[in-house]
Amino acid sequence: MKKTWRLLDTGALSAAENMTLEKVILEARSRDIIPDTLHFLQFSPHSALVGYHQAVELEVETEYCRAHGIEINRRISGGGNLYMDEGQLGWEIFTIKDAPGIPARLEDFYRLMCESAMAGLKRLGVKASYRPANDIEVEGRKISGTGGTGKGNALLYHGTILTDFDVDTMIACLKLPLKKLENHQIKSFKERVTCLKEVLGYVPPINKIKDAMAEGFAEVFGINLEPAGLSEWEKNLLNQELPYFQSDEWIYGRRSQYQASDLVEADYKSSGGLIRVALRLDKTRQRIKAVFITGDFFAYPERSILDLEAVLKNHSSRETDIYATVTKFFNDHNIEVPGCRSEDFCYALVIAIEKAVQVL
Amino acid sequence: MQVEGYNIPEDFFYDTNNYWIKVNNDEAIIGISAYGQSTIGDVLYVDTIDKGNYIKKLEDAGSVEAGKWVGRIIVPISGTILEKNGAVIKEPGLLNSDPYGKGWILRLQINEKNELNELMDAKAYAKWVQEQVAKEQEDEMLI
Repeated sequence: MKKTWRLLDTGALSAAENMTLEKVILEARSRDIIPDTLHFLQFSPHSALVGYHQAVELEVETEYCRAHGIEINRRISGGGNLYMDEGQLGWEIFTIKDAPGIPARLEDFYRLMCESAMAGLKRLGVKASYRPANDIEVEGRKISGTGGTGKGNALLYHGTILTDFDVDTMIACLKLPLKKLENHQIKSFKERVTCLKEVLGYVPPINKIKDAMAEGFAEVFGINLEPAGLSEWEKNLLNQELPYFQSDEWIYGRRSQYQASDLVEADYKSSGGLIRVALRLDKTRQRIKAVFITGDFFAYPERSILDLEAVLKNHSSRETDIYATVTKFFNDHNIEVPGCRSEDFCYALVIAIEKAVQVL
Repeated sequence: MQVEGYNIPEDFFYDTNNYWIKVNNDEAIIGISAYGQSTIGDVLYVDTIDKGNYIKKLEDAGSVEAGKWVGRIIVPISGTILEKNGAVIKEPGLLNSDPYGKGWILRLQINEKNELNELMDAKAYAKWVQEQVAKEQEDEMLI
């Protein structure tokens, strides 16, 4: 007999309400007050969110957000900054570690969750694929990012589905590694993400998207979904916790002592063309926080540079590690860039890293 | 001892959240086991509560972020925080590269010594790790 999960749709709420609800539902699941739950959420007003350990001032253009009515808040889950406008749909799974079919190893868990969301996208006619560790893409372009957290034995895993996405506002309100880039490079960045409108040629009605996603999750987890609202216990805890999630203490107070630098850029002229690397470096931890590789070279397969950027995110910035990873990546994926060798991309990355180290 | 490719020092205690506990008289040092760190991946952030705080067994003493996942640090025994490892907060990768050495997380003053009886010794933990690895292999077949 199939297990029944709650299907919870809280509609459009403020970022603070949505962030509070994540804690509340996770707490309720860890105490076994509620069943496993699929939650759909939307944001109004539009919001800029940072990951649990991030510093708002390093990730969000706070003045721009204030001037444009963009609410700022902090997630209880990990990952980077993101922008949620009113048209986007958030999905969340609340379950427990020991549930049948929930993998113990996080990378397997990520994959299962992304494949569940992909099953929903497939019902909308979108052929999506999984990009390790946490992304869902359509032909190499990201359509959904995911992340999660836990409390006791309970797990929260969530993601977004880009419907009709305002990339320009996202670039304006978040501190991304492309502020100083030229227009054609910003265009190149836009080509790294996609949305339902671009893929399908139209935005399906939000209820149709929710139905498709719910069916996808139900299929992959082998469950029934029963629509229900918040329990009284959750409503009470939401009211208690909301002021904290609205407070500066929560939004601005928490920050890791060691954070990434501002953007640095470096150019390297190879015989195949210019390789331009823009990156943010966490100098203390010797990690690349984010990297953006552009230039006038041609890479085959076309998506290979996007995949390389994904591999290098949060990667060690040590020169030997860069060489090992980039060389292996080129070999494993049979990447060809006429006039360039994998070493040329290593040079460009190392130059940018050295520049970042000097700047900090 | 080595089990399924994971080092499990014999003179430590362990729990099912994959924490190791090294006891030295009334003090304990806590970290995440080699198997535990392998299940979460490359650690990007570690944050803990401060020295002087009293924390009860299984309470939340901080957070660990790997990938886009934030896990809570759930202390396996009750005690007062004597020291948090500044090195691992500054360089979280130590938790992966040297889980039983430089990657330790907290040093505690033990308040309830009888709680140690509820932990696993290395032999019991090794058996538990073997069971988890078997479960992972089953998971892989299902995915």
